[in-house]
Order: sequence, then structure tokens, then C-alpha cells
Amino acid sequence: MAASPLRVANGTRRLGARGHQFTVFEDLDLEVADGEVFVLLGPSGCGKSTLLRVIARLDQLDEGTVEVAPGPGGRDVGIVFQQPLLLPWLNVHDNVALGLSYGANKSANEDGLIERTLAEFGLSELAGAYPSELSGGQAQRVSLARTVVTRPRVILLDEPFGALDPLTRRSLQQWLLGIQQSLGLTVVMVTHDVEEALLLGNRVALMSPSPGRIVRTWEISSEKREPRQLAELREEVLRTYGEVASGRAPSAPEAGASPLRGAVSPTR
Amino acid sequence: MTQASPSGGTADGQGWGGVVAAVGLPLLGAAVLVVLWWLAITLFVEEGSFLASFAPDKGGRALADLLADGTLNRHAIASVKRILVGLLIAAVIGIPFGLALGGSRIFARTFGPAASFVRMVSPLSWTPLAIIWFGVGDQPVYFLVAIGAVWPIALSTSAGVAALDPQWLMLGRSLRATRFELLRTIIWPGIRADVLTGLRLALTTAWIILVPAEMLGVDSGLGYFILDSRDRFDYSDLVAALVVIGALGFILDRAAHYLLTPRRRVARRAAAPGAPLLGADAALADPGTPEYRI
Repeated sequence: MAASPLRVANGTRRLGARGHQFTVFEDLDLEVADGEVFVLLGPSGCGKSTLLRVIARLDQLDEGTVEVAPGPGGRDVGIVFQQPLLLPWLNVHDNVALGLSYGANKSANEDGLIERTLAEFGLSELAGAYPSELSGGQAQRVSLARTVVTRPRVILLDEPFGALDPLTRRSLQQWLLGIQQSLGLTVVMVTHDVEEALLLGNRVALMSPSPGRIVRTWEISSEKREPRQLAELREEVLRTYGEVASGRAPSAPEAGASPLRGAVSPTR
Repeated sequence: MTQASPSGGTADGQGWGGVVAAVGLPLLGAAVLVVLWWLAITLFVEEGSFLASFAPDKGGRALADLLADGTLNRHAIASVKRILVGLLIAAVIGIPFGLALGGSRIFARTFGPAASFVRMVSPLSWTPLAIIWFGVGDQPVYFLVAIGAVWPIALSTSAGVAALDPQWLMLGRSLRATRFELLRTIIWPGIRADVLTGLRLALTTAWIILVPAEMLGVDSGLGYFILDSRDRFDYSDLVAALVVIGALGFILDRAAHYLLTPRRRVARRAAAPGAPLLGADAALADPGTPEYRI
């Protein structure tokens, strides 16, 4: 058994000045397996994006540890944001190649990697196009390719389809599912969309706000994808989500999960 | 009117209209200026007065003579050389200073007020100090040009850095870029247009400072030539120098405009109106992907 590519243990993050601290999330544990899509689901303010930024090393834990195993090129995590953040002076090819031009990712590069990735992402014909010529969905595909091409062990998606119209979002979700399976990507994704979580996730972890904790995790096995099973699961997730969002304790707390804490916990 | 005409005619019509607007109107403006100049001399200056040598025809003749014997060319080249060196010094100091000013709040708070203070001192007030420090020759002129030109460059650079999307920097960090890699691949290309704008503004400022700066301690350049003409009581030469100063400044500004306007902006504007040019996303989604994973 290979070691887990990503493990967070007792993760706690606080924000704010001394005396007015706000606990974003607390005592948070999670472990992700190779090739799975782990979805962090929760209402806004539950700390899921902060958690993702911590895993991406754009932010740091106050307590606890994050361990990420390195990928084939030595790169551990790569993140895709809600906005594509393409550099307008670079064409699609050069935007995708951006990360590989940095010394930290040089060893992930190999002959033909960029062209191969562009082809896998259906971007070969757009290679010479500039970001202003792309639709929102195309831009987000380029953004994902820019991260995947550096071959990180774990790919983090921070509401990657949140800024898109519903039709484009739907088609990109399907597309992401296909590319995740064909490339065997390990993904941690943040969303507040229950449908999206159930469509894409192998496991869905529901987070409660203030302070953020994982209150429940659902395994979505293949039999649960039967239409009737899925409808029941959706009901259950939506109900629990509603309870969490309105601040009530969930009806069936996960074994071992401690009860919800107060809205703001002053800490020193 | 133009809408009704056939496409070829429209293009021609716009073409001629464009030529008239681009060349004809500025020439008309220049002609009006010369006529006003000539009228002022003819109406207000008595025959035989020394002021009569300021007339456009006499100035024009002097200009032709001075260009023919190479006198003005030599002075003009000296001036242009000084302005380029001064601008280079201003850029070498102003761009890093602007980067620091726009990139670090602490740096801006520390040195911003001091910089505004120095900026408000007219560059020419430094002349006596410059001559004491650098002696006579080109160096004090470089100094005066640079100290005037450094501000437009520094302020434009700083404004460019401040206006950079902070998410781009976050993206760079998420891709493990070092500080230098961030500067090379994201910050510099992101502010290039602002830096070029600063250089253009600096060029104009520098040209205005240059002529008076050349009136002290040097024996070449257009500023020197003006004083020299005055001392020789050769006012037609002086007029010729004024014409060359205006013309060179105009040409430098146009050249800077042409050379320092980023080409990319044109492409961006052409593509701006939003709509995707390259096919819908739905068409690119894999039709074979199952609804749910099995």
C-alpha cells in the first residue's frame, strides 16, 4: 500500500488580531487516497477555501500538520482557482507552460509534455489564441491544464466552475470527470453545490461553519450511483447541509466527531 | 453617405479623408502659426529694427544655411545624445524605485513623502549644485535631465505595480515561482505598458529641461547655441534654433509614441467585445463521458 498522497492532522487555523481571533477551522483531519476525488462541501464561511489554501501552501496552519507526497516531477500540490487567472499577454500554449518555466518545476518537464497536455485537454487548436479570445469555459480548461502539466501529486480545485454559467458548468463537470479518470488524477475539490459534489466526488465531506469542522463524510460507491439510491443520498446530503447551514447540529453526527462549537471561539 | 457607397469607394473615401485629417490639418495648423508669426513681425516691428531678424523668412534662411554647413546638426546631435543618456539614468533609477514604491507599503510610507519633496523642487534649481558637484561639461546636464525625468518613470511604474491583480501574484506563488521569477514572468510584463507610458512622459519633461540646462557649462547643444546666437546678435540663428528645438521635440515625442506603445494593446482591443471567437464549450465536452461514474 502506497502512503496516502495527502494527510491533514489536527489542522487549526485562526485569523484576526490578538484578542479578536476567529477560528476558521479546528482539529481538522483528512486523508485522501490516490486517484480519488475528495469533495469538501459546505456553506460559505465554513473555512473550506482556507483549508485548500493551506494545503496549497498559500497559507499556514496555526496547529497541526499537512503532509503531501511529491509527484513524479517532485511537485506535491497544484491549485486551480475560481477565476482562470490567465496572463493576458501570453497565448494558451505559453500560459500552460508558465509553471514549467519556474525552477521549482523544471524536473517535471519532459519532451512533448506541453503539447500532449494541450491535446488531452482539447486545447491543441487554441494553442495560439490569447485569453481575450477564449470563452469562460475554455479559459478554465487552460487554467486546469496549467496546473496539471506540472504533474502535482494532488490537484486542488477551489470552486473551479463557480464563475461559469450553468450550461458551461454542466459540460465542464462532465469533462472534468472524463479527464480525471483518464489521467488518474487525485483531486481535492471545494464546492457549495451539492449536485456538483455528488456528481464528481468519490467521497464528500460536509463542513460546518464557525469554526469549520468536517461533520459528515459520505462514500459514494458505484451502487450509490443507481438513480434511486442517488436520489436518497441527495435528499440526505441536502437535509444535513441545510441543518449545518442554519447552525443546527446534524441529525446523524459522524462517529468520533465532536459536537459543534460556538460561533466565535476566542483563543489566545 | 459612406454607408451607401460601394465598399471600394468607401475605402478610398475614408483613405483620402484620413490623409487629409492626418497630414493636411496639422500642416494647416503649422501654416496658420507661421502666418501669425509673420503678421506679428510685420505689424508691430519697425523697419530696420533688430527685431525684424526674428521674421520667419529670415529665420528660415538661417535655418537652411546652418543645416547646410552642419552647425545645427552638430548641436542637435549633442542635445539628443544628452537626453538619451539622461533618460537612461532616469530609467535605471526610476524603474527599481517605482517597483519598490508600488510593491511595498512600508517602502512607500517611508520614502514616498521624501520623494514628493524632492520632486517638487524644480530640476533647474539644482543647476548650481550640479555644477559644483560635477564641474562643467556633459555630466551636470545628464544629472539635471535625469532628476527631472526620474519622477514620471518612477510614478508610472509604481502605479502599474499597485494596479497589478494580486491574484496573479498568488497564482505565481502557487506555481512555486521565486521572487525573481515572479518579477520576470508576471510583474514586469504586467507593468510594461505603464513603464513605457512613464518613459514617454519623461522624454517630454527631459526635453523641456534640456535646453536651459545646456545654457551653463557646455559648449555644444541647442541650449548653448541659443545663448551663443544671442551673444553674436544673430537673431535669425536664434529663431532657427527655436524651430529645431520644437521640431526635434515633436519628432522625439512621435517616435516614442510609436516605439513605446505596446503592440499587444491593439490585439486586445480588437478581441475585447466579449463573445467567444473559437467555438462553444459544449461542443468540446467529451460526448462519451458517462453521466455518473460506474
